[in-house]
Amino acid sequence: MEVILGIAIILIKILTIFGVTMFIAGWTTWVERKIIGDMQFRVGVERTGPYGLMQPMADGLKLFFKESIVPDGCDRVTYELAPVLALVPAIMSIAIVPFAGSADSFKIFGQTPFIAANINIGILFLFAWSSLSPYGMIFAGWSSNNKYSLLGALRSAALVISYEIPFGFSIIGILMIVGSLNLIDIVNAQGSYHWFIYRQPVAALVFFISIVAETNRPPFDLSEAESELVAGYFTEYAGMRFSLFFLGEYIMLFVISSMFTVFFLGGWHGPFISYDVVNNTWVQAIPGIGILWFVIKSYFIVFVYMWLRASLPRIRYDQMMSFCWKVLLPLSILNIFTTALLNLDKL
Amino acid sequence: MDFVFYLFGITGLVSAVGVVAFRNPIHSALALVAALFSTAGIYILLDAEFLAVLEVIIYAGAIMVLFLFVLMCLNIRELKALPQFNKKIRPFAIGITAIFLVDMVYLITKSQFGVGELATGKYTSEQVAAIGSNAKALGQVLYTRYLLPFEAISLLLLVAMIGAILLMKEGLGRK
Amino acid sequence: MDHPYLPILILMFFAFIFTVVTIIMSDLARPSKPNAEKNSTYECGAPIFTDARGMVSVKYYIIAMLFLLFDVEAAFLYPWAINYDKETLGLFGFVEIVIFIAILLVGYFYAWRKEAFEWES
Repeated sequence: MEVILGIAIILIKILTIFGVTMFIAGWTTWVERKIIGDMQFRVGVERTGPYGLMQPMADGLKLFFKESIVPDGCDRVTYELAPVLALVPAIMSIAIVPFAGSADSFKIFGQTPFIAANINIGILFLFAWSSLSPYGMIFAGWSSNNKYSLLGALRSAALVISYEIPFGFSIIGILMIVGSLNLIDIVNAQGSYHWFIYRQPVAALVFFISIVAETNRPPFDLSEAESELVAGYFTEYAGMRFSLFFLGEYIMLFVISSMFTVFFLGGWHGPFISYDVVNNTWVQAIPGIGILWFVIKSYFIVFVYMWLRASLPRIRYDQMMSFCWKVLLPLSILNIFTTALLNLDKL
Repeated sequence: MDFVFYLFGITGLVSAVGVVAFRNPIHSALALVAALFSTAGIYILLDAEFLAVLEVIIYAGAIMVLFLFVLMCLNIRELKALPQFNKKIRPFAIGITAIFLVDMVYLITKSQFGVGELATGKYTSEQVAAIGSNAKALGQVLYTRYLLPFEAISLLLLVAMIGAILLMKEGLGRK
Repeated sequence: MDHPYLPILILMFFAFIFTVVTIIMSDLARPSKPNAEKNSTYECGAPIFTDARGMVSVKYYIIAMLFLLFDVEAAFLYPWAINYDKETLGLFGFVEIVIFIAILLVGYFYAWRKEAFEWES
């Protein structure tokens, strides 16, 4: 009985966090269309609901009832599995997003309230799941027996794995300063205003470029370059199967932007959050205000993503690859050494 | 706890059988990913979270992607046309499997890894918890006691890198 | 019940069930009228002349190989990075890592010289 109750409480927590993330991810599509519309002197979506706010709902319903095809010569097992493999890593990475901090003793029904799972390996958990994301692409591209799909899959898989290297290297400087992989420790180490973006500007730059490439967003969206590859690895997908790829992409967009907030923008810290010296913890003057700062900061990064999409042309594939290996990788290694030398007093 | 162990154990075993049973190499690769993933789950049950994550990042995330690229570099249709498993290899295969089976049975029943006394060094679970995290404790052993193997690994990686590039260059030159 | 990974296990079940149930529910609700034209592989309207799963460039293999090697390197850097302080590894650990990275940088510059990072070679 106790076991069932415990699982039920965890399930409620997970469903809440999942619901919030789904809401954010869904309406990010609306925000994206509005922002890019504004930047191009267009109105953007406006028909469904006030300011077109119901557009994501309408899109979702439409895709739900759309016919889905099984192309000739496709490999059925991997074809059906690919959308699942694309969405599950994105949903799993929600687990470590620290929406707000709280004292260790503060628990609701025995659960840490603002983070699904406060685990010691923290960021490596995200790396583990994002290292599984190439499978969704490769299986989608390979199974559909389409040349565009296969090319798009190979391109994006090679791109994603390449940018995982500077992505992983860029945070090592911060790990050296903090001495922990736990995301809550990393946020607390920054305090209210000592954000790592000041102390680790190079790492922040490398990290940001890497996450744009990791999520396959413009200007690094060569896997889905519509002018040459139609729609990349999900060319042959339609209906709900297609929308699962899409959903995974937008969830990942938010999660990975929130990781930028955690590492460089001080997480949930902001005004109305103060340090309690007695209990050695951060106190939110207004309960839950941390969540507000966290979402605002993360959403600012999402906005920068869209800004990039509206401003920059697509980068050529060979330039993208050599930029990663020849510029970002040496920069991130250099950053490790610079951080080590600047913090020699720690030794 | 037991339920989770059996869950990961059974998925691991079933997918490991799948690796050898599937005809299509891509399906085998998929099954191998599942097997590696289940192993990571069992590591987590053993409180070896860092090892579990590395299992996924390195094996499932990097090595298997390499495998898939290799499978795609070869033409899958031609692979199917290759003669099936050579009959002459069968006795060797059975022999090697038997040796591994004996090893495993011995390890599980007789040695210190099995039901008998567990071999614990300085780093017991309590010790690791006191240090802070699994990864931290691992670092403290790896960079002091296992200094030489650690530096040797960098040489190994160097050789692998040069080897891969040489192979590629030779392959391109021959064309 | 307070194992830190329990929420992750439950989320994993939830994620798989959610994706599979969404697909199945959509399959029950949507129309399904396949025909030969609809199911044919999309190639911008042109008739298909070869199988899509041909040979792919060996460049992808080399990228995956380099990724694997640098991934292993990164995996070794994490335990060191979080032990970068006086109490544990100290200067000794730093020197060790400098040697480790220096050896790998030899390989990195070799790869650069051999144009492994050039797509158009």
